[in-house]
Parts: sequence; structure tokens; C-alpha cells
Amino acid sequence: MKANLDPQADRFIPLKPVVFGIMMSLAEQERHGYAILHDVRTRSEGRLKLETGPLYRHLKRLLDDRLVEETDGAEAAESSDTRRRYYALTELGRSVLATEGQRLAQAVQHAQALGAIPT
Amino acid sequence: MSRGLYRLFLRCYPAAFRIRFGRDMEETFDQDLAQAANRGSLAVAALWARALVQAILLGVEERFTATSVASGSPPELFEESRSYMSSFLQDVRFAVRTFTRNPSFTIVAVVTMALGIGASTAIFSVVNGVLLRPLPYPDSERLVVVAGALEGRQGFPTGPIFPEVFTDWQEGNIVFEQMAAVSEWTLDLVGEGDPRRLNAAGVSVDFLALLRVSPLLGRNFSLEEDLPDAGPVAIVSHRLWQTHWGGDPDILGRRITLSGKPYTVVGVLPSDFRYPEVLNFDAVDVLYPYQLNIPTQDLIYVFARLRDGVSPAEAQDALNGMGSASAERRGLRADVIPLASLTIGDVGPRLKLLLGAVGLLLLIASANVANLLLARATSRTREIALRSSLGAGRGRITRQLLTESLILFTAGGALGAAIAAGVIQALVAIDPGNLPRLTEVSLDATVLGFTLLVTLVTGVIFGAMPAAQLGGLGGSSLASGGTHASTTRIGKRIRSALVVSQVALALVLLIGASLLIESFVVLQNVDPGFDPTDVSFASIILDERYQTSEEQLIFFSSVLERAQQTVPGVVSAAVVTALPMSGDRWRAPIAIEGYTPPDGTRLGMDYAQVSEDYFSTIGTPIVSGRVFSAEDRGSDGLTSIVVNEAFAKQYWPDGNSLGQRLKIGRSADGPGPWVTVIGVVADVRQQELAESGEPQTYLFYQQRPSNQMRIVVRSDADFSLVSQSLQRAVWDVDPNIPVEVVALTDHVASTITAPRFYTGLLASFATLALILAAVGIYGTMSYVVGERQREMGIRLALGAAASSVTTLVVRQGLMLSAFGVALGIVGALAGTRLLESFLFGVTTSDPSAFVLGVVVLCGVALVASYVPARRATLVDPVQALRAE
Repeated sequence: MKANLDPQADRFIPLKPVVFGIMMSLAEQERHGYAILHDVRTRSEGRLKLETGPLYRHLKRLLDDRLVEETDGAEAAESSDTRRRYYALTELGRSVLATEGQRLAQAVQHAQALGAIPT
Repeated sequence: MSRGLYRLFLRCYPAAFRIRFGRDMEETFDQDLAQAANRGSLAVAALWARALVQAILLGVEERFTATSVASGSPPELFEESRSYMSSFLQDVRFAVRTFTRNPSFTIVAVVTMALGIGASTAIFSVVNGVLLRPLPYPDSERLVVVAGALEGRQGFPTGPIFPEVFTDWQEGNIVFEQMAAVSEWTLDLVGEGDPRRLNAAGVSVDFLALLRVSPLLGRNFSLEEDLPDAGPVAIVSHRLWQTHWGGDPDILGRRITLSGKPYTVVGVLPSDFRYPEVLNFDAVDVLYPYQLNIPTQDLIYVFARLRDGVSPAEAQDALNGMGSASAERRGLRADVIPLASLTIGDVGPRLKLLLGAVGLLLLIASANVANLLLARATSRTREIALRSSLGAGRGRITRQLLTESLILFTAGGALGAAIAAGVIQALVAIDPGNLPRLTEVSLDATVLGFTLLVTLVTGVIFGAMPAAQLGGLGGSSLASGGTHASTTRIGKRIRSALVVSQVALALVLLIGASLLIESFVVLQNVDPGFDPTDVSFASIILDERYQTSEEQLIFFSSVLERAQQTVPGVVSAAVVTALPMSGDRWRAPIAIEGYTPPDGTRLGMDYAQVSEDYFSTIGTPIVSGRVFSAEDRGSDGLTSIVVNEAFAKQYWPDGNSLGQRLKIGRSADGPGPWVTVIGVVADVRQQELAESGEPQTYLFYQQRPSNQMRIVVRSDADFSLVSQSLQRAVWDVDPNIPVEVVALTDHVASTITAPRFYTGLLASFATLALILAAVGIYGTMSYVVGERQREMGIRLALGAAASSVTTLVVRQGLMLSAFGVALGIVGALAGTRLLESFLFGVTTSDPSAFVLGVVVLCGVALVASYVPARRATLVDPVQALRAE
């Protein structure tokens, strides 16, 4: 199962919870800045605190590391003004997210096997 | 508008970041703001606050990391923190290496900071222990003292109340959880070695419960023990248990004799128990049940614990609205005062003053170290240029310089904390007097947190200066190695500013200290109205075996007689109730014949009972009339009184005080006997040296005996001999009375320990400040000389006289100092106003203190710039020219 993932992806593991949240939000669809904020907050039921400043620092790093790319938002925006930028996961980004997801899933399995969390 | 503000916040980020994301961030923040607005203005405010903090923090961080992108190294996003850490450790290693290579610089910088931080930490620990920390009782903010205030009787002490008022208040109480009565006495522990005088507190049964304190051993008093016929019991302090019985575990149930009465020990207080320092005692040795229901005229103090949610003001209104019959009969009003504010008293301003002084010292020390760092950084321009041309980005170099500064400051902080720990120990040992809660002062987490904060803040602010100076240097200008690059001018300007501010701050401290010293000298030279040299005294309190006036009289007369016969070198001996500066104060209401007091006031007088030779013994001159003699002995009750000049002047300003009559005490309102003024004596500083002559009167102890008196002896023999023989004179009459003999000079000196302490402390701060300022000027001028070596060489080569070169340098040093002095004078004029209430006999703008401060500082500045100037003339022109 791990075979089809980009070997480069391991370099970025583990992800910070917030970064994981941002990438998850972009995995679903491409989004603009505020949509990411909103999605991360609601998906985590407010447990992940994310604000504009930190969001863009993470985005910058994700962009620099080519895990995320900017798009023109063709998919999502018909009515929004064109000045908005949209962000989407790259292939590498998807691999990283999947690798991290597997790591977390394994961790959960281990914990369940130990009886540390209910199955 | 909100966009504009957020755009301003975004200025914190590096330009590249702003260009890339700025517009989008504004957009996003705007939407987030709109969302927050739905949740109310609080959410909006919180969002703005977070945005600001994040902009500053992230912006700075981004600036640091931005360089690595620019220099082309691949950004390693998720390992960034790791690489950050390793480069930090690299910086630390490098810094430590360079510091050990240059130990003199390192030692001077670290010790300077340690002095500044150590002094601040020590003073802050006192502020923390005395002012900030809650009292050492659970929920202590609910503890109050219910003081009694007498209506329309100014000058009578407020605080204590009558037992029946307490009973009334207690019965009608709805505002307090608990109330307890306290009455302080000294009791004599006898029958076990030399008799020993103990501080004892008679307390009602709720006292310990109210403070939420339980005994370490044994138990608290029971309700039955509060009744009159219960067998007397006592709870002893941990200290007494340890010092007197060596921590004997069988202490419980032990029978002890206190002032002739047997008590059974039922408990031992915990070692960390602190007796409230609001009455006369700072600590107690023994608690016993006060047994309030004994009909008594003794005054008691009331402590109480407020019910949850009741404020002191509400409690006060409730008590005064209750309509206690006994309170109304006596014209007594309740005054509910938080225990904490009463404990701290008026010491707050003093401590804040010290904190301010020590803050100035810290600034001076920081400026000094910043100066050293600047000079060092400038001399390292070549090294830094090299590093920069090898690929170190600006952020990387800045970070390294900052790391170096922080290491220096942290080392200084650590050493400072150690110094502070020593100072605190010394402080508690010295016990400067007038400082409540001193035993609670310690280097706790709050204080260490303060130290850390001070260290980091000074480290970042002052440590960033060299970084700022070099930060402006571009790689190319650095690589050319020019120490004459335009940016060193920034450094020069910063250094000059630092010296100027150092001088100014030092001058403020110096003038403040001079004022206090001057005031202290005035205080010490005050004529107290008596001559304490060669005078010793012992305080005697007779216990319950001496019930009647006759018995008391016989005791004191026999001791006096023995003292006159047996004390070596005795000139005279006397007894007195209220010795000057002993804190004793007895007051009685009076009525004066032919004198109508202003409406609503009632007259009172301070009085002391004395024996015949009292005035000659302590050396107070008689102004007119006579003092008491054998002829006053025979009569029953009071017939004559001696007053001081202030009293005579107040009531008989035209000078005919002799033969005037007054009525004293309870008979003041009735037909009681008249007492005649037989003499006038000089004014004596009765309470403290800093008072002006207060009205005071003297009664004859034969006519008004007392069970508490002090035996005063004037003798030119050695104090230890006097002490022993006086002790024996007392024990010959009664071996069960504790006697401690004190020299009156020591006693008077002890009344000015507090001013001496504050003056000494401020003077040492000022001295430190002066030394640091001198080091600052010296360092800067040395640096200037080093920098201008070439110029000096040329001047000398062209035939300039050595003196003219010296003048050049000294003039520059003095110019800086002059700026500092001007600023300092302005600062001192504003700052010394805070000293007003601490000064005695000196005004806050006293010219001599200002002149002294300026002269001393200028002298130091002159020397500090002359030494490097001298060195400038020793420059060998050829060497200097070749050096470039």
C-alpha cells in the first residue's frame, strides 16, 4: 500500500496538526484563505486554533516545498472576484498527506491493540 | 479603516512576504473579522489583539528565515526548527569560545549585569514578599481588623475596643464568618533558669480557626477554656518550644509558670505560623485564652474573617448600623480595615522608591554592557565581513550577535540571582526595622521569574544594539573591511547617547542619595532634649503578685535605693513609665482651668510618671520652677505636675504657666482635684527624633504608681558592670522578674535604623552607579582614543603639543558628561520630589546636594576621560600611521 507513495514524502513526516488540518482541507477541494480557516476550525470543532497570520506562513512554506500550489480557482469561483487566490494540493502534497494519514492510522491501531483507546 | 490598520500590522513581515500574500491576507482577515463581529465586540477585540501579536512575532521570525531563501539554500520547511536549533547551538558554542578568549571583557560585562540584576532582584524580592504576596493565611484577602474609632476625640489611639463592645458586635454579627479578640501582654516565664520575658497574646477561642491555622502538636483551645474558671492553658510558639525546651516531644501537658500563674501547655504552633504584625508584637511566644467574660476594663483588638462576597465597607456599615448600646455609650465607631493593608502600613512608598532607584541602576548597568558590546562589535567588523562574504545572511549574523548578548546577560542574570540570594539573607539578618513581613522575603518562583524577565528584556533591548549597528552593513561594505563605513557613525552616536544617559541616571541617584544622607546627618544631630551618653535602663513589668499601688511603690523604691548604692560609678538613678523613644505613650483626658477648648474637641495630654531625679538622670534641663521632691511625697493622690515648654506654650502662651491648675483623667469632667503646675522642663523628643517638640507632662510616681516602669541609671562605669549590678539590684528584691539592661545610646540609635537603612541602601546604589558611569565614560573615551590613533599620530607628528591632544580628548569626554549632567539635573528635580516624605530638615531641591552630586560626577568624568587622554599622547606617530 505504501508502494505507490512518493518516497520524498517521508521527509515531511510528521506534520504539525495544523498543517495536517490545512492539507486535509485542501484535499477535499481547492480553497481560498478564509475558506481554509473556516474549514480547519469547524472540522476540528474549534480545537485547532488558526488565524490569518499563521495560516499564510504555513501556506508560504507549503508553497515553497511544493506541497501546495496556487490555482486560479476555476473550479470553485464563478461569482467571487478574481483577485482571490486559491490553493490546491500538489501530487507531492497528496502523497505527504496520505503518508501522514497512514502513520496516524497505524498509531491508532497500536493504541487499540494495547487497549489504550476503545475500538 | 480596519483594512488600513491590518495593512499596518503587515508591515512587520518582510517585503517579499507582504508582496506575495499581503492582499490575500487582508481579504482573509476581513472575512474573519466579519465572522467575529457576529460574536460581539469582545471577539473582535480579541481577534485584533491576536493579529497584532502574531504580526510582530511571525514577522520577526519570517525576517530571520527569509534570508536563507534569498541566499539560495533550499528551505527545509518541516525541519526548520531543528536546523534553527542546531544553528543556535553553533552560535552558543562560538560565543562561549570568543568569551573565554577575552576573559576581561567577559568578566566586566557579566559582573556589571550581575550587580544590576542582583540589586533589582533583591529589592524586588522584598517588594514581592512584603507588598505583592498575599498574607500567609488561606483566603487571607477576607481577613480584616475591626478597629474602634472614638468619635470627636482626635489624638486618641484608634484600634482597640472594650470587651463588651466586642460581645455586642459578635452577637449581632451577620457579615463575618468568625471574629476573634486579641490582647497583647508580656508574661514572665519563671522557674526555669533566668526569668524570661515572653510576648504573649490573650486570644478568644476562634483566633487560630479564623486564621485557618492548626497547631503542629496538641490542640487548639476549647470553648470551655474560654470560661473564667477553666484551668489556664497555653499554646507555645515553635521558636519558644525549640529554644527553651529544645523541641522536647513531651511538651504537651507540661506545667509552666507565667508571671506567677501556672499554665498547662496544650499545643505547639507550626514553625511557619506568622502572627499578624499589626499590633505591638511582630511575633508571639505564647497564646492563652483571653476569657473575655471576665469583667475587665482592658482594651482588646478584634480580628475577623469576612463572609464570602462581603466587602470591608459593607461590613463596616453593618456594624455601625447595628446600634450596639455599649459602642454608642462610649462614642465608638467600627472601622473595618483589611489585614493586609494594615500589615503593610506605609512601607509601600519606601519600597517603590527603592525599586525605582534600583531600576535606574539596572539601566546604567545595561547601558554599560551595551557600550562594551558595541565597542567590541565595531572591532569585529572584519570578522563579520568575512562571515558575510562566506555566505552568512544578515539574519544569520544578527542572530549570532543577539545570541552572544543573551548569553552574556543570562550569565549576568544567574550571577545576579546568586548575589540577590546573599543580599536577602543579609537583609533578613540585619532586620532594618519598620519592614513588616521580612521573614517572608525569599527568592521564590515569582522573584526568579522577575529576574528571568529582566534578564531577557535587558538582553534583547541592549543586546540588540550591536546587531542593529552591524545590521545596517551590507555584505560588500563589510567585505572591504572599512571601519570607517558610514554605519560606525550610528554606533558612535548610540555610544554617546548611552554615556549621556548613564551620566544622567547616575546623577539622579547621586543627588537622591546626597539628600537622604544630608537628612540623616541632620536627624542624627538633632538635640533630643536629653543626653543619652552613660545612661542605661531596664524595663520592669510587675506581675499579678503586685496588686496594690503600695506594693508596686515599695518594689520600685527598694530597687532604686539599691541601684543608687550598688551600681558602680552611679551619678544618679530614677524610674519612669514612658522613656523617650521607647514607643510608650500614655494619654489621659484633661481639663485646664480657664481654658475653653475649640468646639467639639476634648483635651488630652501625654504623660509619664517619674521619680525625683529623673530629669537630672537623663539630662533634661529644668527651665523654670522646680521638679518633684520629697515634699510632694506625703500627699494622697495627685497634687503637682511638671510640663514641658511646648505644653506650657500651647496653653499659657504668655508664659505664666507656673501655678496654673488642671484636672486629669476621669475627674476631668467632674469636680475632681486640681493639679498644680510646679515646673517647666525642656522639650524632649519623646516619640522620635524627627518630631518637633510635642507637648508632654510628667507626674510624680509616688503620687501615681505604676506596675510598669523603667529603671534609669547614669553611670560612667563600663556598661557590662552597670548591667550586671542593675540586674542584681532587681533580683535582690525579687528574683522572679526578668531584667534586660540596655544602653540608652543604643536605644536611641535603634530608632533611626530605618532611615539609616534606606539611606545606606540608596547611597550604595549611588556609589555603584557612579562606578558604572565612570567605567562607561572611561570605556568610551578609550575607544575614541583607539579609533583616532591615526589622527592623534598625525597631530603629534605635525608638532601639536601633548597637552593639546589631551585637552581634545578630555573636552570630548566632558562634553558628553555635561549633556548628561544637564539631563540629570532636570531628572533629579523631578525625581527628588518623590523623596519629600523621607526627608527631615532638608528640602527636595536642596542646592548643596545638587552641587555635591554635580561636582562628584564631573570629577569622576574628568578622571575617567583624562586617563585615556594621557594614553593618546603616548602614541608613537610612526606606529600610528603605519597601523592603517
